[in-house]
Amino acid sequence: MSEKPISENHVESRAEFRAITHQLLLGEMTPEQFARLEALMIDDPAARNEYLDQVDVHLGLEKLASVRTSGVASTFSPSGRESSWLIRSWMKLSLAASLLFCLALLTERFIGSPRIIMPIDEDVATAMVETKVRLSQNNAAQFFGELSPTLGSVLNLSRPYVLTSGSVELRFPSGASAIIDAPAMFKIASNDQLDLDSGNCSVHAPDGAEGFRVETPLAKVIDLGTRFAVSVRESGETEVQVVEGEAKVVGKSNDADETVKTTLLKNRDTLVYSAEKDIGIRQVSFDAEQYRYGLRDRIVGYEAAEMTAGDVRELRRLSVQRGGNVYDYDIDELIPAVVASYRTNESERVLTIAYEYDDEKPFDDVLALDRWLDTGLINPGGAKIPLSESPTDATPGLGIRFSTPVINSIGPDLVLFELQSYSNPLTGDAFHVSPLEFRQGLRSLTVKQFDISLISPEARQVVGFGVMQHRGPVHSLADLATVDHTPLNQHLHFRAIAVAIDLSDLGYDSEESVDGLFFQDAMNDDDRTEQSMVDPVYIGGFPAVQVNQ
Amino acid sequence: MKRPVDLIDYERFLKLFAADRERIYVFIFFLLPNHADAEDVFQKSSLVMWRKIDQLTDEGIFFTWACAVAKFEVRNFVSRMARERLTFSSEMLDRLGEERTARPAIASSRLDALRACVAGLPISDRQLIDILYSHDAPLNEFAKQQGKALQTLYNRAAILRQRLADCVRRRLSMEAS
Repeated sequence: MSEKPISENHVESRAEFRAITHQLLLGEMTPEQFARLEALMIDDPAARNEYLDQVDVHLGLEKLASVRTSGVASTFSPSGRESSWLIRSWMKLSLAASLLFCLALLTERFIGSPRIIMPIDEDVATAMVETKVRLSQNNAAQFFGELSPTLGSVLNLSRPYVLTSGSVELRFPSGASAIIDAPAMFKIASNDQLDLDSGNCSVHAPDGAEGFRVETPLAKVIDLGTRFAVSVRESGETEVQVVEGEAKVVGKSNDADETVKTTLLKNRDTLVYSAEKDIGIRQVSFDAEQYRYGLRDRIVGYEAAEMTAGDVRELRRLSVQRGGNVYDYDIDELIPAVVASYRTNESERVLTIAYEYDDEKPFDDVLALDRWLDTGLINPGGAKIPLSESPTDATPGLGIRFSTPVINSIGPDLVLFELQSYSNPLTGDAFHVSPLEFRQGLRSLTVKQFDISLISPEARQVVGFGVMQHRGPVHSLADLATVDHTPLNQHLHFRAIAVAIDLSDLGYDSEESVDGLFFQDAMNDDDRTEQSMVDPVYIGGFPAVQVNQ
Repeated sequence: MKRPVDLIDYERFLKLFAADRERIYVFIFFLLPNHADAEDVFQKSSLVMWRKIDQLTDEGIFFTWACAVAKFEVRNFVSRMARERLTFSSEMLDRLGEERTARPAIASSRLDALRACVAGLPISDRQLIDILYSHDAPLNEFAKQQGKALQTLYNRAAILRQRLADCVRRRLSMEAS
């Protein structure tokens, strides 16, 4: 039977082809339709090309949607589905004594991408064995092939973890801690040993944790009460720098006849074990920057009231690291802000207000930037170049004033939450924050990366909300009421993401009081069809850190 | 202590596989367009690749090599399951496989490009895409709300996917130039 090639723009064939392809992608296809699909494509390169396009975009959209369903982009949520094939293979492999490691590759639906279970050392166990080692800190960490473990969760014994971006801190039962920076590959060898196959780690072993070890492909570093940094390159070359105290470093050799070298390193001593035998061991200059005393200050997490299906609305609590210490604040302890000014960029249509679905929130509550994470005055205007002088009524952006002044204290001093969907930048919308009134020494700060972004397990999906669309630019708060506007139902799914801001980064003096701030989108989405503007829904100041706290 | 050879091979495999795993899955899905079958073949193919990684002499052709392994496993699957599953003919598998492999390598920024293209759609189209792929809101309710027939929305979705494919291609070629 001769087919009409859809490449010749036969409308009926094209429509039929698209309808069948759509059924295929929905997973609702009969054998007759499948046969028809092949018949339409077999002699038509254009149809095959369109098929490849349709499937390609379909998988991409599933992947993008997984940001919302799994909470993490480009990572993987367990589906609980193991194929019978996998189980059979697992049994066969377990019986194969010749295999030191067995690899099980487990996939789930592509929205989560192929997932890999890492190799398990048969000497240790045939199944995952939990340790008492916990993930104590997480700074935008992404792991290859899996979701980032949640804070406080226990890591598995002898299972390789591949950290592809960000940083984590691991806490061992003895009290020792290790900060690992991406890219790194590591295993928990025991409750007092970390195996670092590649990457950098900074170890602190306080009193009582002596004997804690870091083992690399070329050396063992044994703590004697100290702080030290270990860096392992892809070749296995290992660099050790002792910052405080002492550590014993024992070289490893593949040659049974070779004498194993042991070196005692003290404060500011360094040693490099080269992968090249001719080079052996050498010293390098001490570099204090190699050691990290902690993860950077940031928003650690937040709690919000769950409404339906786990979606959240009202912000309840917030954890923030300030000056290296984590503070938990109840929402009542934060300093609320109200909107003082609002001006959009020139536009024929602009979405201005996120409001409660079906039941519009009182306008005053939106302007008060209340505790609800799904309502607020969104899409303020912006500028590519941050302000260097005080904003005026003609400056696009969002001005806010705190109910009581925020004191520039230790570490970050306030938090900004925004709404973000999977079609927006994963790391958050870049924005400028500026003083309301400039003076000498003050400057604008551009924030490009949120602490809790769409890739963070901590980012929660908010309940559905509506948006107000104004048919023209809004030049003032008064314009919100007078410019023609209409409510729209909003079906897109959004998450609440957050970033901490340190007033010192704007040039404020220590202990200086700050009444308000001005926010602008950074207008940095040149690679996008339209700007993805920052959508602030909550801004709150932190109480000043008491010196004796 | 000598490092086990298997671990060294595994690390080599992991490094190569990590960079291309999604492209490999997509390649398999083109030939077996349902997730359950594609996942099974992906698992099997991945294990075969790991076992045979020592046969790969040029790491620069890992993806081509991986596709050849995957295609072989797809053929095995089809020959075993043709009576039970909806599968393409051998001829069709060959043509799709060749055409897919001949396509330009997918840039790592492909998803970013797709995201940007979705963001550029009118809000009603974005809502349709969102509902179709979120699986947590019934499409028929949306159709009722929009006053449109379900089939109209299905057709619209197919057109949107094609537009998005064109948009992604345009963006990636602009980046390349």
